[in-house]
Amino acid sequence: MNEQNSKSKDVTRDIDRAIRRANDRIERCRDEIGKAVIGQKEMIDGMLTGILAGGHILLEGVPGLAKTLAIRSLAQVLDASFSRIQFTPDLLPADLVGTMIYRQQTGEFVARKGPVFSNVILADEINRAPAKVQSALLEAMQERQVTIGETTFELPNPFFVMATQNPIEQEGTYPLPEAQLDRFIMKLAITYPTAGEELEILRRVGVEFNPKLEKVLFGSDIQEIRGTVEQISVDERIEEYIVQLVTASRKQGERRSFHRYIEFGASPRASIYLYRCAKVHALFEGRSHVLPDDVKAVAPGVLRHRIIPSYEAEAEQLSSTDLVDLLLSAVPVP
Amino acid sequence: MRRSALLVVFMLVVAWGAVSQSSYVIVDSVRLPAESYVGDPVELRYSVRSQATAIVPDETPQPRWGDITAVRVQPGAGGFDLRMTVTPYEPGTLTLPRIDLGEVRIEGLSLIVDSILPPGDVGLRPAHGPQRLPGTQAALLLFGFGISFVIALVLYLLGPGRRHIHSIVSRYRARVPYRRLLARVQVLERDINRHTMREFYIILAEELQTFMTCRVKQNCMAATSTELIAILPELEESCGAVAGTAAPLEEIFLAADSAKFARKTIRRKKRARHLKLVHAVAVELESHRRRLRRSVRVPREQVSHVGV
Repeated sequence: MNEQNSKSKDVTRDIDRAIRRANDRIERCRDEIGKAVIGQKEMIDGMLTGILAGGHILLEGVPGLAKTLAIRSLAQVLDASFSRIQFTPDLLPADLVGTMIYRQQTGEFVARKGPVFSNVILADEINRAPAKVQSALLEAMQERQVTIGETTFELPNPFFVMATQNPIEQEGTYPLPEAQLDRFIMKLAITYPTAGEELEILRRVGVEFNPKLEKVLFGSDIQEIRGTVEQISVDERIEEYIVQLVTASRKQGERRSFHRYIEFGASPRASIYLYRCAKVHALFEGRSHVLPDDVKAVAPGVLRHRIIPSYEAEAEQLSSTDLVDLLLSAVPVP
Repeated sequence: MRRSALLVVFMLVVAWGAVSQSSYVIVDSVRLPAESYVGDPVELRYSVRSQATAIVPDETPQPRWGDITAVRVQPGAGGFDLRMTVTPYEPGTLTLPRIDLGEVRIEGLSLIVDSILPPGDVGLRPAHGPQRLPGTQAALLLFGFGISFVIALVLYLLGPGRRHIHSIVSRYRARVPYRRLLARVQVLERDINRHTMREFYIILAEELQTFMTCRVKQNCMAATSTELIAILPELEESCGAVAGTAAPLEEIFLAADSAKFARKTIRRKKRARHLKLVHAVAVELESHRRRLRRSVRVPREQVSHVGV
């Protein structure tokens, strides 16, 4: 019995040590990104959550909120290859995934890999490209492989797509269908910086500013941190809470007052991503177990693009984020 | 001699006259029933010795004191039998009227009638109305009282009673969460060894959430421990307590999270201390709340919103 207890204490100590080590690295990463991006802590943490939970992130915000800068900075601090793809209406799938080209010297077709073959992809203004291009990227995101000609190529690991879109200027855009939105682990709504942050931005970027960011997070680090995340425990009551949150967003079973505002609820993929993201959040908080706070913290990011507001919600100017808030304030916490 | 003859003639004339005038002798009389009371029909039977022929009169004489309903005559030995049915309505000795039976007239008959009424209470009373069933009066009284009570109650409820009842109900309701929390704490204290550590904190945290939901008027059941800790100042404010009164609950929420989700061991002694803390905080908050309630005069229109 004593031997068992001491073994369990050792395991706990190991996990705690691994969590501390992971947090040190993440903190270094935040500091490094912070040299280029002032404020926007939630956006940076959201992006890191996406990387560690093995999902892709959709950033939505008006122009000028440092979305692209944040992603580029993140790519710089990661020891990973980075590609930026500016989505435009005339973009073709081949521009993204690559194509077969004829090599005159050998007289044969060879595959030429596109920019999607990178660790970190910035899909800038993803909603400006037509559906076939979006589909090509989203297929790569889901399958983590690309077929060019008759050959299938594995995408590098880690493979992480961060897409941005602008909520205004909807003319000439191709809004992502719900099924494709569902493939993003989180949709981060980027808000304006505070007055203090904006003052800091002014002082730092008032003159030409191009900070040199160091690479602080390597592929092996990411794998190790992901391993630590795996070890974070989730109580069955938390698991039930996650499922209750997701099922409560659907018009099934128990009727809730906010159901009239929801056209479609979240898919089972939402439960999986909530679970993963909550674990990463617990790691950020330095805990070896998940609390309902972790679930609540990541729920808006995970659920907001999966809950489709009804006509009634739109009439009352309720956004999907408001619906997630309603959901969180209605489902009892374990 | 002549004088003697005259005397005899005189005597004979007188005797004949006497016989011809009375012309009957009542030799026997029977009354059925023997004792009669006011209102009872009585049959009178007389055996009359007479040479005259008796005939039933066409019209029966009616006395002032009652009715003669039938007169019958039957031939009898040496005369006739007279039978009458009389219904007297007065007590005392009543004289029957003269009854003319043709050649003979019967008179001077009387009848003694008793009364069940006490002496002095004579005379007929007017007829009673319909008799009520036993207990009808009591039922009517009760019904009247009930109607009056209902009317009074309705008037009371529409008027000042409404406010009063609202106040009583709200005061009662306001104390329900407090009483419930104390009762649950008591049960947990008793069953502290029966529950696992995890169960113990699940129950305790839920009870605290319910209590806070009632006091701060927001859904604390959907609040995490961190959010509950942030709500504590609001709880203190709602009870009119000084800042920090509910602060000990913070430790309990954190311990509950550790026990529920991290499966950390919390010793029995500490659990018992947590129960005492909850009890003490609840009592303190409740005393402040009651003091606040007493000091604040609640406007009439706001009474219904107070206390939940």
